[in-house]
Parts: sequence; structure tokens; C-alpha cells
Amino acid sequence: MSSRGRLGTLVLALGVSVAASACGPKAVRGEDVEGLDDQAMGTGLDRRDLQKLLQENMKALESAPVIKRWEGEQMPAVAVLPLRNETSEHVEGPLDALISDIETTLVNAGHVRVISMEQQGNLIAQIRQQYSGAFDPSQISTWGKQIGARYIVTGKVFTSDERQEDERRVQYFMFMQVLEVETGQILFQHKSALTKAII
Amino acid sequence: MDQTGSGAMRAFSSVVLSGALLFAGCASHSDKTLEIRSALDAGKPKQALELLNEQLDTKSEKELPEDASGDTALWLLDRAMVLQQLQSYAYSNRDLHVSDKQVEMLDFSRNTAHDIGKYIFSDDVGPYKAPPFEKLMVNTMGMVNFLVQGDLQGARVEARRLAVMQKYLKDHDPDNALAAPGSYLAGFTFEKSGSYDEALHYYDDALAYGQYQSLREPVRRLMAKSGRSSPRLRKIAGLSDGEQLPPQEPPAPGTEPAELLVIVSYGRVPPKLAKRVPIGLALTYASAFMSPADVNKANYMAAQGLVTWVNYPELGEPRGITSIPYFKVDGSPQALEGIVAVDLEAKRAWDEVKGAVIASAITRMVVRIAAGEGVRQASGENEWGAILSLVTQATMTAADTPDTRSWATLPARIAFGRITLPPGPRTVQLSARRSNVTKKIDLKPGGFAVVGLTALE
Repeated sequence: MSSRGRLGTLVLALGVSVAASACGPKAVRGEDVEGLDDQAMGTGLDRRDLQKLLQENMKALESAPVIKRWEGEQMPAVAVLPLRNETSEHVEGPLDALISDIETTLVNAGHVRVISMEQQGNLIAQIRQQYSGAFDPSQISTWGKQIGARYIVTGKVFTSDERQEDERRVQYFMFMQVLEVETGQILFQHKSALTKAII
Repeated sequence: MDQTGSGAMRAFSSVVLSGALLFAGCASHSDKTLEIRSALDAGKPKQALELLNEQLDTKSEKELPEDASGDTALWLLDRAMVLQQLQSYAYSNRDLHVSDKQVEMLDFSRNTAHDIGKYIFSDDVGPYKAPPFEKLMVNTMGMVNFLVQGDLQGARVEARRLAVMQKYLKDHDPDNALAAPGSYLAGFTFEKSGSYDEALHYYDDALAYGQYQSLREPVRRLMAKSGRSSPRLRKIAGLSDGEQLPPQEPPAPGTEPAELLVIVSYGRVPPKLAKRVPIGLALTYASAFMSPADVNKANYMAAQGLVTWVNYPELGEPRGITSIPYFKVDGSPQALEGIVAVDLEAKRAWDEVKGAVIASAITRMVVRIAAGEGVRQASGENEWGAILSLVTQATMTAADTPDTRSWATLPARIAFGRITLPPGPRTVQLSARRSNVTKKIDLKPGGFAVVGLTALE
């Protein structure tokens, strides 16, 4: 490139950077900005990710044998327990939102009676404490009995997280399970996956 | 120069002058943090917090700044450490978490305009790029905050985030993959979460940095339960080649010993400060990092008396490194083990880039002289042109602020104390610099507690 060309590029780059620095942030509503909810803002889980994970898991559940079993019983009691966060992201909030979404889907499907965990503050605290420490899977049956549930819906989320020079990729794997409280037997298990990245 | 060339030079000169005027008069980061550091030196962390809130334009630590641009991430890191000293662990963690994300984005975001600005105007044009040891300390301090709150799940997330960064650094910058405190805490986190293999993996990493005697018993305990082994693990466990640990009798239920971990973070890493050095001395530091043409230009300008001084950032002095912290349980003194000298890591990181930073400052100075010359030529080589040339150079000199940005509120030293105790109530006392903490804990059979003290005086 000639020195005049380099000079021109320099002038243009500086002009753009000065102009860009003049723009400030502003608050907006999702419906006012087309595609705002579609854009990923980071490597955490957002609403669209949660919807994808939920839809995939609930679709798999709909065609699982456990549904036939539930239909054969008279509206058995089901409780949805918090999902364990075994990821490299602080996604406890979005995972808690997923509990309510699972409850809503189960209630609307009409196969089961859903026991609200919101009334079980102490138990939820106990569950979170257990998740925090050395997790003992046999506890799930105990909790189910405590709340009078015949089945428990729960799960866990893992990540495979890698970083390169100027990129980071986080692959999420969510396992959803339905367990029988009496026996601890896993009646349904499904894995869904999604990837978030900064590239 | 032909007319088109002269026009381009005029346009360039006017943009350079506009840019210089935009950046001129900006205080350096160390100027802005001076009051905050002074408040911490005086043992007034609440005052330091107020000053940080002013800087972030927030009413209190409960608020996050609306504007995430500029050096907000760095200010939040500072606020996080002051909040840790004030034992406001949840807010400290929130600030660390937000900064962690922003530092990552800033790492990926430096662009050509920033590089041009850095080349022409000042090193602190463009986003702050944290050195490796600072990035690793974000998750390490996050783990400290979660552990003192007894939140192993949160600590595990921080441990995994740390592992991602450590792996990246081991692949790209192995000399700076500071593993010690983070790996030790990650090992503790996974040990208490019942993941013994993972715990030994992290302890092994920590042992690559130092022979931590406080890890001897935990490693022996875990090796008896896990198949994982390594030369470092065997060495700290006191096992010779081929020797196996004898099977351990589990204690009677309800009598399992509990464990107490204390984390004392004290003093402060050296801040970066603006410094002026004679051009001759600067060239001895930096000539290896400059092109021969730039070295010749700089030497020529020095010989002509056109330049005499160069501005660049230099490390100041660390605080509190000679202090001796104390740890007592029920009034009885206990041993603390030095885990890492963060101040020495900061110095090592700075020594690695110092030559290049000074070279950059000299190159900018050469550009300034050239820009002044360009203005003089474009203005018709008359008196008016000479004045404009001087104004351009003076303005650009004023705009050239040495990049003194750093996470200056990191502790200089971190020490751990780790003891096994029978279950029951205990009183833990920690002291460092002029700060003290007394905490009553109730250790459950087989349980654990983590108590922290951060003293940034």
C-alpha cells in the first residue's frame, strides 16, 4: 500500500472510532427491537435456549413409555426438583426458571397432579444444600416421600467449555430424568444439547 | 509533496490533532485510583467503597453501573476486592462475575482502531487487557467468596471456569498459568463435593507450584479412596515408589473429624504508576523491541535535542509483604502456610512486557515529531506552520497517558491454614495488617468450614 493509501486508511479508521465512541447505551423493549431475543448476549443460558431445551425434553417425554404408565394410574403425584448445575456458567437462575416451565407443561398435559415445590421452602433449601455438597442420588427418593410424590422429575446440566485465542465455546448437555420414588428406578432419561459461543 | 498528498497530510494532521485534543488532559488510571488506594492504606475500606461507587456512578454496592464501557470492568474488580474485605461476599461475587464476563469480551474485542489509537495517541486507548495472572485471580477470588459462604456449587462453577482459562494458558502461555491458589481451592471444593479424582487432579496442579505441607494429609486421605496418583502426589503424601497407603478404618458415625480452612489475603500488589525517564535510558530498555529504523529515528531526534524524556508506566511498591498474619482456634495459635506471592507474579508479568511498552512509548514519540513536521509542511512552512507544528506536538504529548491500568486491589500475599478438628463449636480468630476477624463456627461430623480475612491495607 502507498503511504497516501495508508494515510487514508488511518484517517478513515480514526474517524470511525471517534464516531462509534459517540453512541451510548439505551433501554429498549424486546418487542420494539426486531430480533432482540434472538441475539445471544453471552455464553450463559437465555430464554430461547431454555425453550429449546424444554421443548426437546418434553417432546421426548411425550412419546416415552412412562406417559402410558401415568395414563394407567389416576393422576399420580409428580414433583419437579431443581436441576443440578454442573456447568462452568452461573446458570442457577435460568435453571430455576426451567422448573416452572416443566411444571406448567406437565400440568397442561393433564396426565399427572403436580405438587408445587414453592410450598416446600425448607425442603428446597435442603435439596440445594445437598446439591452443593457431596450429592447422594438416593436422597431423591427420600425427598419424594417427604413431599408425597410418586414420581420425581429432575435433571442435571453439564458443559464442555473451551477457549481459543479470541473465541470461547460452551457446549451444554442437559439430562432430564423421571424417577419412581418407591424404587428409585429411572423411568425416563433424555439428553438435549446446545452450544453457545463468543466468536 | 503533490497537492493530493498535501491534502491527505492536512486531513491526517487535523484528525491527529482532533484525536489528541479528545484524549488530552485525561488523568491516568493510577491518578484516578490514588484516593482509593490511600483510603485502603489508611484502613478505611468503607471510604474506598464510596469512592469506587462515585467512580462507577452507582449509589451503593447494591447497584451495577449502567455504562459497561471503558474501564468499568476494572473498577468492578476493585470494588469486588473492597467488598470482600468488608465481608460482603455475595456482592463481591456479583461484581467479580460481571467483570469476568466483561474482561473476557474485552480480551476478544481489541480492534484496528484501538491499535491505531495506541500507536499514535496513548497506550491506554482501547479496552483493558488483563494479564494472565489477573484473569486467573478473578475465578480464584470468586471461589474464596463462595467457599466462605459454604456454597460448593458456586465454587465448583468458578473452579471449572478457572480450569478453562488455565488450560488455555498452559497451551498458549505456560509460564503464566499461575495455578497455585486457584488449583488448591478447586481441589478443596471438589474434595468436599465428594469428587476425589478431580480433587487430586487440582491438588496435583497446585503442587507443581509449591510443596504445600498442608496438602499432605488431604492427599493421603484422597489417595486411599481414589486410583489417581502422580509423582508429585506421591511425594507430598510421603510414599516411596511402589508403596501403597494402608487401608484406613472409617471412624464411628458421628465422630468423623471435620476440617477448617482459613484463607488470609493481605497487603496489595504494586500499582502501575506513570514515570518519566531520559530518552537514552529508555532506549537501552526498549531497543530490542523496536525496528532498527525507529531506533535510528529516536537516536537522531535525541541527538538533535528534539526529545529528552519518555513517559511510560512503571510498577510501584507492593504493600504489606513483610506482615505476619495470625490464625487461632479457641485461642490456640495455628500455622499458616504461604500459598502465593501475587506481588511477585505482578512483577514477573510486568517485567515480561516492560520493554515492549517502553518501545511503544518511544515509537509514539517519534510519530508525534513526524506529525508536527507534517503539520508544518502542510501549513506552508511559514511561522504559522511552525506554531501549529508545536501545538500539535504539545497536544499529542499531553494526550499520551501511560497505561497505568491494573487490578491494583489484589492482595500481595495469600496464606492458607488447614486443620482437622473434632466436631463441635469453635472460635476462629484471624489477623493481618490492622484487620481482625473473629468467627464462631459449629463443625458437623465430617463437615467443613471456610473462614476468610482480606486486609488490603
